[in-house]
Amino acid sequence: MRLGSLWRQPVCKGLPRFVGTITFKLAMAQAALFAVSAAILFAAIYWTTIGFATTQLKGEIAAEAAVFTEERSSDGLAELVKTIDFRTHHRGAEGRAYLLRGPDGQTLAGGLAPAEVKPGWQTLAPGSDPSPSSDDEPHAIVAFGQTLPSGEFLVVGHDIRDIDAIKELITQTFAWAAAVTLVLALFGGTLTSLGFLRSVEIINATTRRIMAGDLHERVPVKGTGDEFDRLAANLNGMLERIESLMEGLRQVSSDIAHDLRTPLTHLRQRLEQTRSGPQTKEAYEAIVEATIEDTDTILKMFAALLRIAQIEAGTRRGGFADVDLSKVFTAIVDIYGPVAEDNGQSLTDAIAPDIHLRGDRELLTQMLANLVENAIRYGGAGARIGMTLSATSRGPHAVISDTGPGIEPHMRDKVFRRFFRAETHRVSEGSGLGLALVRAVADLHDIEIRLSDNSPGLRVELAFSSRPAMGQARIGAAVSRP
Amino acid sequence: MKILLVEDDARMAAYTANGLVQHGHVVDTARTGRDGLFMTAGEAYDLVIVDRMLPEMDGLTLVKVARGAGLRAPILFLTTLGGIDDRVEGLEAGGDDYLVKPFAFAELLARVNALARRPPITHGSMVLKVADLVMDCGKRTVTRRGTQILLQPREFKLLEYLVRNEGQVVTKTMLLEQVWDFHFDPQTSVVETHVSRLRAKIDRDFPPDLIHTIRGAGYVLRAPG
Repeated sequence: MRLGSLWRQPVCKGLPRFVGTITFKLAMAQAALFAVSAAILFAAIYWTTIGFATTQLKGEIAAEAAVFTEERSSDGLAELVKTIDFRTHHRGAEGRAYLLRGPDGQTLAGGLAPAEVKPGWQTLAPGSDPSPSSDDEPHAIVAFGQTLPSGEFLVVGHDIRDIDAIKELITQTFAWAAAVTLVLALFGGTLTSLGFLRSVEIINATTRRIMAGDLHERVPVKGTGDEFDRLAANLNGMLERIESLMEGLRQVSSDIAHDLRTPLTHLRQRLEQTRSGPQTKEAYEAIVEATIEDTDTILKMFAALLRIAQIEAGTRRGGFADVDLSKVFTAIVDIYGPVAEDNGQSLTDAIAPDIHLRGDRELLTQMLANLVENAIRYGGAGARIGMTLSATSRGPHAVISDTGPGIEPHMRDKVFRRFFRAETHRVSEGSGLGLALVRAVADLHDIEIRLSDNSPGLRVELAFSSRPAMGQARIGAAVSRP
Repeated sequence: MKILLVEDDARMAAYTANGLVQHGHVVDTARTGRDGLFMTAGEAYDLVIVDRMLPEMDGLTLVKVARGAGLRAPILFLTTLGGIDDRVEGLEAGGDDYLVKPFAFAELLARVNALARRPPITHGSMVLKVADLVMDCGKRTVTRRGTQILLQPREFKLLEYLVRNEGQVVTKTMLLEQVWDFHFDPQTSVVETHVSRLRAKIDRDFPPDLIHTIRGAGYVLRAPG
């Protein structure tokens, strides 16, 4: 997976692809949310701190004004003027501003411009103190004005350099934090988006290859067990199923083509030979007869294929009814006993009575008929064919066995495929569809088929699932009981 | 017999109609379901042969409507290849028999004849007689020339079917369906085996033979002479 391609395939002008991904959008939304909450936090800290510092400052001013008031009343005006002058010019008292005005309006001490002051709390613009005690840029001044009991007007002010410093510190800290957060959010969002995009891109690339026709492709599983792994595992499971279905379809189509070619070739050869030379009337009749038989064989093959397809479609399940399985087995024995006998074989049975099942009687009959016919046709002369039906705790159980040549263990899975014929049986005339139909009927009825060695011969076990029928019987019994 | 054939495929219709005409029947042909329905209302037919797949109105609907309108004639359905649900549907809609396409003409003819004979005999007498063969369907006994013959239940059913269709050819497929309830083609000689066993009991010791093989068609039970 080339990461570069993620950058080189823009969604819209200039923007790299990951910008459009859901993860990137999510990361950005989260960053925005974080920014809003950080801004609220910033505002709260800012206003609380500034408020606290301002209160502190006003406290100091009030205390100093109280000291001056006390000094005026105890030590007299001259002492107060001296103190204010000293404080105004004393180093280490930068930022202090005073004004003492006499009752007739003349300035007695301090550097504040008298025109701007008034009684009570006030904020004076920067530069209101014309006697700056430092080289600093001017700051605003918080001041308190009051008329002393002796008649003079006193203003005490402190500039807000400390508060301004705190403001700057807080703002700078938050600006840095915001910048770092933004970078981290962008970086993190990009990183997770690229990771997300890469995982999706891997799946997309696989599906594109599959669409291009390579059904063997699988989505790589990282083994981390995350959502993408689970998605990949599910996709792979789906692909597995599709591939096996496709394989089955391909196999069936090629088998149909192959198996129909054989009888059609025979038919054509016979007709060609007939054309090549003059024949007697009897010979012509025999040829026509044989040709009709050939076409009948082909038509039967089609009919069997369609029947299997219809059974596999499962629509017959809708018509399921109670079937007396014992009666079906008995009927099969009645019908095929004489056939086996005429074939120099024997058919023995052990059928337990009154075993019922929910199913399709017609199809179950055909399934059993096919199995018994298989035993008769491939069992060979003198074969002993056995049919048993018994009830077990897990449902009805049946065995159809013969003493013929049997089926090699490695072939047992394949015999239920359409058109399968063991090579030794190729010469015989079967359509190769009998057991495929057995499998289709068994699947429809949830019957498990097991093939094993009858030593000698083949043993076919049918494990019926009797759940629906038994369930119904129980309900019926419960209802009828008073 | 006057037969209505409702079949849209021209070649199939010509093949079927020609064959029936050659065997002495009068055949009218309709090419669509609507025409077919119209014709059943206008004319009294002894038998109606209906294809399942028809333009304008499918065979199943045609039969339902015609039966609802009081059509009494037996109806034979022609079904598509391998259709396993078609038979039940067809019979439920009011059909009397069905035949899977493509069919051998002998098969169609045998069924046409069996259907034509059906009404007077199916619910008929309990005692059936053909020449010196007497079947008592109530007591389940069979005699020839007064001699009791022991038959298995299924052999009895087979003989009864042949006797009820006396003089008519019955095909292997008809026997499989009617006697053994097999609606598929067995790969072994089921019918031959059972017919030959029945013959051994009915005909071997009592010449002349009643059961005959008709090559390429089936069997017939008929009185000698």
